[in-house]
Amino acid sequence: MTPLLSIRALRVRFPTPAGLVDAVNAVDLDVFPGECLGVVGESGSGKSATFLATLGLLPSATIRTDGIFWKGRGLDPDALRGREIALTLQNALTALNPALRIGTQIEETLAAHDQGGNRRDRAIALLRRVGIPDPARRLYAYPHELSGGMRQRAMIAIALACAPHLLIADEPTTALDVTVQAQVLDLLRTLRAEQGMSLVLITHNLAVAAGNCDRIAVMYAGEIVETGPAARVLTTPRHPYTTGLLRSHPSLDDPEAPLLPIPGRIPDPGAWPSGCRFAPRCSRHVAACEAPQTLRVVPDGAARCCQAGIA
Amino acid sequence: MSASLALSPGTLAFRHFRRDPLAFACALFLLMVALIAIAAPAIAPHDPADADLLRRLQPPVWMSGGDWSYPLGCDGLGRDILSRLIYGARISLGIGVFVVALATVIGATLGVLAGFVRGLPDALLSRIADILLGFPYLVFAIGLMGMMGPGLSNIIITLVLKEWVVAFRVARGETLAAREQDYVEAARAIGCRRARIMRDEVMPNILSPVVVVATIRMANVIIMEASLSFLGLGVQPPAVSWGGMVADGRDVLAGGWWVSTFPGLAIMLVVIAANLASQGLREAFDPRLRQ
Repeated sequence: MTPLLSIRALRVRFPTPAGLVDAVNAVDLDVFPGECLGVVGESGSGKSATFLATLGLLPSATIRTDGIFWKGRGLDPDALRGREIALTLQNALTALNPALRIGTQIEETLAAHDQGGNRRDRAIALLRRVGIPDPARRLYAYPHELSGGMRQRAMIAIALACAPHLLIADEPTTALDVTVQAQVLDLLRTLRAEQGMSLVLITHNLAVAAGNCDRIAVMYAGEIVETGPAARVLTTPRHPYTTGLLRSHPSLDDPEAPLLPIPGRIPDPGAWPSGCRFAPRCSRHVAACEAPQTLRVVPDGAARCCQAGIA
Repeated sequence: MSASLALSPGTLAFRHFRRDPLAFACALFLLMVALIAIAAPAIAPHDPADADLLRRLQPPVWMSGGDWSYPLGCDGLGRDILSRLIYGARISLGIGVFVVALATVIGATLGVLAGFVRGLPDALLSRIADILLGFPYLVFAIGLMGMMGPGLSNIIITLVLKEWVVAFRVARGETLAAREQDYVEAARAIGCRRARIMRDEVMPNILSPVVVVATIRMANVIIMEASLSFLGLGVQPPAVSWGGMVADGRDVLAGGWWVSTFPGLAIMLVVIAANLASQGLREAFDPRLRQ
């Protein structure tokens, strides 16, 4: 099957006073039609930068790639953004324009892409679709009048305005309480099923990815350290970082199990270790870890670890 | 649902403004002057250019020798001061409003452009603005009016040329802050082009400081016009302006103080009202200053 979106050897570097800093390194990703890909990692691991760079939204960054393909052809982000690929930003609380009514902002998207028909009716339909009650009235609300969950829904409504084939949801559940998180994730699942849309779910929350994704890509220090079907990654992780993430997360099956945090902290971008970037924090550190690691194919996926085959 | 649903920031600001008695009174005063200016031909008791040397320096009604048909007296050529004040409001207020409106539209547009696009356009426009700011206002205006010659359109051109810088700098500064906001990135993420982002996303967010500054500048422009007219570089007779009336009275100050005093008073009242109203407007638009 041809992937919908295919990223090859993406490298993103940001200019800083201290020189170019590597934020994303050699990332390969595929998103297939209809699937949900979870991109998991802690803050600064390069999850958001990967997709912002893909969509051409990092004007100040230096971006190198062996190619980014959309439906098998070279991707022109300016032509696809908002039309076939939509992105909801990390912070729904600030990503809506405070000076404009919700309806204006939805209609604006429709106008930006010259969508015909009655824009007001379309906006109402979109709000109803994302489960906002009394949509005709909410059109006239300002963002500050909506709750966090409502704003996230409004963001999703804006993203859905042009019926995209791929929705990239960057931390859609951050800053929402748990019940609202569940509602938003439910909504995304329903929308995906109804529209046959692909979804990239960027999250730092393994549980969120576990419950919603077909495949998972784990990122650490700007690199993908492990990919594979969600079930496999979560049950038999091949990379010690994934193992560490799972162990530091409470489990419903064994609530008494001690939580084991990963020692140390993520290194500063620009000061990555020369070998395996996870080596300084790794419990299975061996001599071979001093050399840079490549993604090794393992049953059902790949892992960037010299012991991936053994584990 | 809260009662404030569906109220725009402008509506909220207006509600607050209405509760500020001093600022609201000043705004009403300005509105009244504006209405008088518009209705001048219907209101003015006499033709403002109707000279009669028999009425030369006739004093106001409450002084001996004054009468009710010329309540504020007559000037050195026997023209009715009240009528001239009423007609003069057209020039003073008209120029104030028109110059500020034009300068604000030009300045804000260029400011958003410079702040959003950055780079060469920004550097170029900002340097031009710096140079213009370096000129003392009156020197700039006198120099330019001297070159172009007096007249209504020239005075407008001169004042706009100097005045757009104010709106430009405010709009540019606000845009620099607004362009880094998440909603701008979100707009780009949904595929909005730059022109649309500037017009539909950035503009509404920077509008209130620009509007507030414009009202403050109106008082300034009215004084500038009066100064230029006082110096003889403004509108030319038979058109009447308050600054010109003050100048007319200068020669007869010893025998008829009222000729200069009343237009001077009018300038002062309008300028004070504009300043106080704009202060109220600033508070109304800034949630931090609302009580």
